[in-house]
Amino acid sequence: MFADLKFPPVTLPPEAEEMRGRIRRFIAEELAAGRFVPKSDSWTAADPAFSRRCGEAGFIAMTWPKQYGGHERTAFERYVVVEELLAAGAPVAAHWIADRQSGPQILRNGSQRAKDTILPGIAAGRIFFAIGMSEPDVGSDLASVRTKGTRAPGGWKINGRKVWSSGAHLAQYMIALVRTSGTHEDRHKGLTQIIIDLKGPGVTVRPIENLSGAKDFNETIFDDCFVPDDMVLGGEGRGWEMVTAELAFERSGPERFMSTMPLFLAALDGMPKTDTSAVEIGRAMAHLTALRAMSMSVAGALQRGEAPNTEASLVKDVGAVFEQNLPDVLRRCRPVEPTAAVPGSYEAQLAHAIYHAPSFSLRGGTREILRGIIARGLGLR
Amino acid sequence: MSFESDLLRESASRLFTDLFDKPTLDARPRPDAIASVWAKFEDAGLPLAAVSEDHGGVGASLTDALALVRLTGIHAIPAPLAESIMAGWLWSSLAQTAPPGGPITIASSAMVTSASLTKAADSWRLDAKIERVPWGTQSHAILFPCSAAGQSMLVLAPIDRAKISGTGANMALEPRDTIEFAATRLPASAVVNAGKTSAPSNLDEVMALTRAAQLSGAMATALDRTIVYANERIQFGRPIAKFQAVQQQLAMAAGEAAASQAAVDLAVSLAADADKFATAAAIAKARASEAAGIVASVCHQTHAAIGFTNEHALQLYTRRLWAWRDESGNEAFWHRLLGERLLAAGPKAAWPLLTSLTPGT
Repeated sequence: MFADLKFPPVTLPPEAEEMRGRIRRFIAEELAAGRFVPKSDSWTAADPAFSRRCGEAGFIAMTWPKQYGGHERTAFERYVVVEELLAAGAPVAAHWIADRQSGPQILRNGSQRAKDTILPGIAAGRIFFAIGMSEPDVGSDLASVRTKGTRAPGGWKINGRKVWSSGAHLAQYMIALVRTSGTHEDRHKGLTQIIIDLKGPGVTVRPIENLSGAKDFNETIFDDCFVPDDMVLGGEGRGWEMVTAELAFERSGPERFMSTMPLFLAALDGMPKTDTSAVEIGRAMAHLTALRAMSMSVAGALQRGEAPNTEASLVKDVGAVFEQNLPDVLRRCRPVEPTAAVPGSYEAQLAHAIYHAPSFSLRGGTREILRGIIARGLGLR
Repeated sequence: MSFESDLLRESASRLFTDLFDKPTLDARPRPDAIASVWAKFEDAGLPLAAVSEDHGGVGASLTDALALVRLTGIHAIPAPLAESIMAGWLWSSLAQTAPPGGPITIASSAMVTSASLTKAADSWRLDAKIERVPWGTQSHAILFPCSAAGQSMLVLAPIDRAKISGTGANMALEPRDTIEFAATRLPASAVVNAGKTSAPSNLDEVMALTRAAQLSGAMATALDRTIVYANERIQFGRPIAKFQAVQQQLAMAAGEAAASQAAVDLAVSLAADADKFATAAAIAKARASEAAGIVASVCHQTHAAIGFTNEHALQLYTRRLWAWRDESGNEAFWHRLLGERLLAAGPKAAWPLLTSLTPGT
């Protein structure tokens, strides 16, 4: 029932606001030195050098134990850093997946060797991860993955292919969901999450250009790729359960509604002060603020160890509608002809946002899948 | 939530269920006969819930008060209880005196079509016309904003000293009346200077948040009634809840209601800072007003013809959604005000303004 859903407001601890000052100074210095050009959807824009500087400044692995290079800070300090980087349009993609989900997954379910050899590198902004879920024949129906792991002495041999793996061309590792027993008709049973060394033998990474011509996502092919036992996460056959547990973290963060915030903030510079623009900008402000409250509330629930899965899906569903509509709203408020011709111009930022907008309601679970999850949470399925 | 506030909310919830969630709508108390339910509200301490204990109230926090206000939306209460709770809170915190007994209504500044308030010795003289007053004919007193000698004041005036010059209703048939004061003498204690306090004293934003909380409550009930109905109604051999087309629409509507609820809760949690509270209350009303129509539409679509009848309870909630979304400023009104504020801040200050709307900052 709807009445069971809760979004209690959270109060940011003082250290979170101190962190806001720190990250704003960091961003201001980066911008002053001309080290990045703000753009929308910057969590798909990779710049390994920027990620290294983030790591050195302590903005990656913020909540992890110091033992693994982390900083033992609260989820709210991390939240503030993430939303400031996204608002600034900073190129955070290289370390994004590792920081958000791969690292935490290894922290919870990885072997000691995986923790020791991988986590400090993530925290330093030097080790990056790709997600290995989708396959050429497997999109929304994730449980039917066909990539296979077969027993080999001391580990597993992996064969198959993953697709839409963002950043796999830069990443050293991928966490892949593979079938280690049974057939795809066994659905959720027999699936395992494993860490694959993308630089090792038996792995081919092929770029796939997106519609704007950018090369961000890839096809990753495994041909008798060997993975040692201690790179299996959480034990054989626990893949589905672990994927599901990851989703609330993956779906409720500020990147699920802030992808076009850099465009929004850029549009305000030179925005005609008309009735139309005031009403539209005010509407965006109301939507953004409500989403931010929802998202922070879920962050609070996750910090308390709860599993707000329906709430997290609601953040992503409402958020995708918002961030996807925002370029259209801004088109009406500040009429220009979008074009990628002059990089850094408002016209180019608008074109970039329009090119990327279709992906917002696809990645991390399509709108239809999310609404199905929400419907289940409401008691309709 | 403390134990006391849980207790207050739970006892209110039980009382409202008992009084208003009847099997047929005919069994519900009529809006023109609120005296009997009001006595029960008073027994439960509800109208004075947010009045401080020093002034004879329960001393509930603003958070608890808004939770009760939300319940008035959840149960579609046909009485000015939300207005009374908020008037009691405002008056107790601003005037530092006890409000009078009986239902108290509130008018926001847009309803005060003409007003003159002048000081004469140790009393005030009031001339005012106030339109679309919620439950004006049923209330004992009215709280409204008025300026006197350039100062922003709040007036709490007994309605038996006014003339009811017109009666009307909103789309939910809640009374919305016109009342006039002509050369009415009020004691000095009936007027407070709203500017001389750090508490949220902008009555327009307080009323906007009140309606937003009621909208949020009515959306929750409309949705949950619809979910129950979708699981009961069989077509093509299965409950219509099993159809993806139905699921997707209800999931989308739930997102609208959830965003409204989060915006209301955010505004409440920012009450300690008058500026942030005013902005967040505007956001809450804007978000809830926009969501109200969408939620009402999906709930009616799912219920189909039976929900379009007068005897079905769905209309208790959807008609309130349609009424309340346009009271105390609709979404376009607040969007424009918010947009002007953000555009005036400019591109450099816009993001800091947005992030300042965070509890704890």
